Amino acid sequence: MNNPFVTMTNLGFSYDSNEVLSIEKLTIRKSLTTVFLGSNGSGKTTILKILSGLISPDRGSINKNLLDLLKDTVIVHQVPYLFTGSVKYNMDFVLKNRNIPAEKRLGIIQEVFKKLDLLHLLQRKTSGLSGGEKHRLAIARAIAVDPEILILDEPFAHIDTESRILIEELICQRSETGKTTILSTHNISSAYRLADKIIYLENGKIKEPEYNFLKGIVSGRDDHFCSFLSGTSGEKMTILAPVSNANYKAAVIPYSDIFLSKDKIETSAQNQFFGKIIKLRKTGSQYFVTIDCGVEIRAVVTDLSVKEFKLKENMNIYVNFKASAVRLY
Amino acid sequence: MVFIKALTLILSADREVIFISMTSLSMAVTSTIVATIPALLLGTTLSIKKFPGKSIIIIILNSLMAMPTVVIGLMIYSLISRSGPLGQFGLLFTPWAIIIGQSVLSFPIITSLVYSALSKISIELTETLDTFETGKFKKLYMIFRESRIAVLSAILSGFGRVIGEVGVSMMLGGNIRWFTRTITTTIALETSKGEFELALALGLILIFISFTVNAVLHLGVVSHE
Repeated sequence: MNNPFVTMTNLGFSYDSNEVLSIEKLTIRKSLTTVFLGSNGSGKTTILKILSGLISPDRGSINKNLLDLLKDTVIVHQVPYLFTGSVKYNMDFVLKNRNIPAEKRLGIIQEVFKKLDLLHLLQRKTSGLSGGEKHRLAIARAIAVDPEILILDEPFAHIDTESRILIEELICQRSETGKTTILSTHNISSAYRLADKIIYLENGKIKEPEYNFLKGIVSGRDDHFCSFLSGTSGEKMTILAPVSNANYKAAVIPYSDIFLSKDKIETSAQNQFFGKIIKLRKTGSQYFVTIDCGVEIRAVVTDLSVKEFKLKENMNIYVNFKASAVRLY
Repeated sequence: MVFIKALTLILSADREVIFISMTSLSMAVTSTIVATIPALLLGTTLSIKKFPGKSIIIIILNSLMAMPTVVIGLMIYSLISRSGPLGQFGLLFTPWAIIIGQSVLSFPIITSLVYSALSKISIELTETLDTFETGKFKKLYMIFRESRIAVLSAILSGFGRVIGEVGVSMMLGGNIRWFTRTITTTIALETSKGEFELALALGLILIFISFTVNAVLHLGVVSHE
């Protein structure tokens, strides 16, 4: 597991007197892609602005590592601001700010523009660009300075599929080179494809996830089903799931679609794994049960089930779910 | 007939027409420059800083924008007349008196409009500059660069106010021929005498100056956006 390099505790932020953010604990890990997923007004932009150092929280503590790292953090706003003038001026401005010599600048610009299909726009004025082009330029401007932490606020809003794919590829490339990317989105598909870690936000608070989020790769397939190998290092589990293409990067299984059995049972569910309960946590009238099946799987069960099955930590159990309960992204 | 005579005065480069026009123009330009420097500083400070009394300053500036020119003329008159605290400098009825008065007249206009222009700068601009580690002075330069049309418009509004005013020039300059006579004081004088040729010629020149200034702004800045 990568070391946490941003830890915030008891974080709060208010606009006027309305508290828009209230987070008990938040940990962001280095070299990973962290995605804040939530609807409009859930506090995504506010948390990103705090992480980028543009605003300070009203309360809460931030570890010192963050303050050091903020020196190499760049944020791209949901509605990015492009300077008046040419596309090249925008790129030159940020590269000059980073003291990159003139002879190197054009090479960097061309390299980034090639990745984002912007080469033909180099001499154009920013006022004549389309919304998608403006967004890609803003991201190119941020990528060009190669920040340690790249923060993207809703990078997939108002852009077409081609632009989304290019931006997703770029984020993946950053991840492969060990750079940290933090982004917010309400685009569930992009979030699951890109994220190493997903933080669900609702009304300014971190929300308990309702899904198992498993990173992995498709390891084999026929016309209708694939084996999805989860866990890119260490322990692995192979999940059977229905498919329509081969480029899946994540599997999502709702907690509520998982049922537990003490013994191996005859069932139509295609996925059955043996594991050990490592955590049993009560929330209201429900229990969250975390089972180690090689990869951690979480299920939600009622009070009654816990009593009847006498569920407890360190107990061996079978985890069952249908192939159709698995969503691949 | 009057119109043709007025045009003849302009086309023949009448000495007095040229002198009056140049006097008006030089005093308006000088007073605009004198007012612009502190107006930019105060307008910028008001837009980017929070401090006690800021709202009062803004209210005063907005009120001063509508101040009648004769009232400003009267106040400065009381300061620079022989019996006033600055009487020893002998400024009354000199071009300097008009420049002082016109500077005071345009200062609140330019300040207020600069404040308004910079306040409308999107937070995304300042945050973008911050995220790319832009230094203090470069940041200020970029804020002005990005709002240059609005800032130039503010300065031109100040210029427009002073080139067309009568009260200050009349009260502080005294409308002295070949010395402090300006386009507007001449128009007022000639019209009161019932002689419209010179007044109309100067009126046309005033319109030409206004048109030229706006054309330069549009062609030089707006079209380059």
